[in-house]
Amino acid sequence: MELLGHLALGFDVALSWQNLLLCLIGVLLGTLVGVLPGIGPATTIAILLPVTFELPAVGALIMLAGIYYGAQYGGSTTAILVNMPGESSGIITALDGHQMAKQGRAGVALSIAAIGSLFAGTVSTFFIAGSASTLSELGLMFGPAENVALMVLAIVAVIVMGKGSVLNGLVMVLIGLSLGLIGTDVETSKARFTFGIQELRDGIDFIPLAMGLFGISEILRTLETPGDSTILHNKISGLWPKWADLKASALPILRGTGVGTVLGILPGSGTLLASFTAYMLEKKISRTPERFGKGAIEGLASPESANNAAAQTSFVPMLTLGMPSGAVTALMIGAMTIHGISPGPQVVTQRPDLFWGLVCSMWIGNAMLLIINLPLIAIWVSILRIPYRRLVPAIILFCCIGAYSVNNSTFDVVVLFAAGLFGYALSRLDCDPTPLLLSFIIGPMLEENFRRAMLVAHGNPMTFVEKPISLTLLLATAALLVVAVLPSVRKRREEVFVE
Amino acid sequence: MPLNRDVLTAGLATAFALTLLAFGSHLPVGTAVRMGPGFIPRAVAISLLVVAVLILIKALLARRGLSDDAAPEAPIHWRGAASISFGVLTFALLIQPIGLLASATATVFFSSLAQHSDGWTERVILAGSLAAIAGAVFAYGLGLPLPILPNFL
Repeated sequence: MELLGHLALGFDVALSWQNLLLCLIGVLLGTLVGVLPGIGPATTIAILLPVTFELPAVGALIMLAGIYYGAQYGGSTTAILVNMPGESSGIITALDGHQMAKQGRAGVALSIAAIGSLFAGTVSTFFIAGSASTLSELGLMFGPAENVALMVLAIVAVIVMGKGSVLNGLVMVLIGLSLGLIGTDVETSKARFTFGIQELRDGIDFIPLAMGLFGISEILRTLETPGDSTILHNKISGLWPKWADLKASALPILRGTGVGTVLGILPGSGTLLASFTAYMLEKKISRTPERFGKGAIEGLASPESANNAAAQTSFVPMLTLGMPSGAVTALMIGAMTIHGISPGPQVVTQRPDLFWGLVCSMWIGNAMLLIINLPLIAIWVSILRIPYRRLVPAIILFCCIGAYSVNNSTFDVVVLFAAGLFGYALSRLDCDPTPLLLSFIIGPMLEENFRRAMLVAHGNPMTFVEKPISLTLLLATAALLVVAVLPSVRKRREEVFVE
Repeated sequence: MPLNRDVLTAGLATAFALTLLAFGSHLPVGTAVRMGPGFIPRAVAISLLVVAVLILIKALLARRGLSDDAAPEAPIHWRGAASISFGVLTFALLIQPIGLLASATATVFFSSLAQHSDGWTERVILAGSLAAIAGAVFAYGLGLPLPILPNFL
């Protein structure tokens, strides 16, 4: 019954006309940007973050969640229609989704994706509501040593589950930590690595950094693919699925939801692991596996549901423990900090309106996708018809204005420029910037907790392995690292990313 | 060339490590109980150096075992990188003295040079109209405190 009370509070917050409107705007903006080829949810959130500044904390987070779901759906739309996914899990969507579109069933594919996402979103909302209190109670038992172990686990998980080599991931983490050191040391108020620049005393702002690393560098990356990407020629017709389509996708949606809900909680796994596993599962149990890759509706319905369920449950560690599990949740944590909320287990008890309001608006965002976004599909498609050469300057201008308006500081625009070029260089070096951003955001918390833990333990580093929770987390971290370096697993990991 | 790329990554890590060591040398390390502001920077720097060495070792081992059969990569898009950088820096330079409308026009124009286009007219029209939209949406619509016009007007 407690659960229903929580959900009632959440819907009370989320259904206020103002928050409902913010959620709607978020979903629309998110789809608008997410539908652009090559731009994934993390990039979309980074680009749109400044829009949420002036809002109160609850409204800002609700809008960001809306942006996230919109971006995901926009990404699926692009993957299905033009086979240009903006994020890794969209590759799985494109496998059968784009084939369906080629066979003239794009409308069906789009609506099945939305229906599957809504169902998955509904289930995982209840799952979050049910598990959040328990997890945050566990989180309240955490001291500085446990926090350190948890953050180390989060960082290592992002490296291991991410793409690229583990060593490159480590370099990204360490560079992120270095950039996070810039500014005034909290304990001694000594300036560190400010190079005498006044603006660096407060550290680098994470918004221009994220916009540059994800937004600008993504654009430079897409410019490398020659040819103008107006891409879309065939018409979309027959939006609503037939009864047979629904029947064929009912069970896959159910299975995908289960897979995604469970895998989404794992730190660092993100949505790729969920959609990949769901796809493989469907292919394995299908009586006609040869249809996969040629427009099998199960091959779309299941991973799309898994994708969405995982997207939603990946918020669980962030909301209850304050631990980001990827670029998107790291950005959300950054946004929370801007609004003066320190993410962690205390959020559930201290700001129940924010917590439950956010959980419920996730569900509302999903429902909006189906009710409002799907009929608007013609608009999103028309965006895909705009030549890329007109979109690029618009996105650049948007990033500039966004970076500037964070603090009304031209220095932030310079950071945007530097981060953009740096991000492009990193992508040329096969280094994924996600671990960098993650460790940049949690680096200062990591240092603070580490120093406090050592102080509490009178300088004995054994404190990290003497506490049972901390020891368990560190053992899990070590296991992850060992598994990732094992040759057999490494091979499999490469296969996943090749597919 | 995978070796080249690994060398560059290791070089990047080393550059960061050396910066941390050089510019953090005055920061006290402190004691194990009460760590100073210099402890973590040094720890990060040393880890960076270790990882850099590991990357080089791995690259050497891989080179011995494998021939170069990696697919050739798309060339670096210098034109895009240059014109977009120029566009962003122009914005940083111009927004405060001459306001949003003029600086947005310049930024859009310069970043549009990243790609081929149907001609100069298209770029100019695009720049002007995007600047107008930006002014309407951000300054009037969202009410952000942006300077619109040059401050000497």
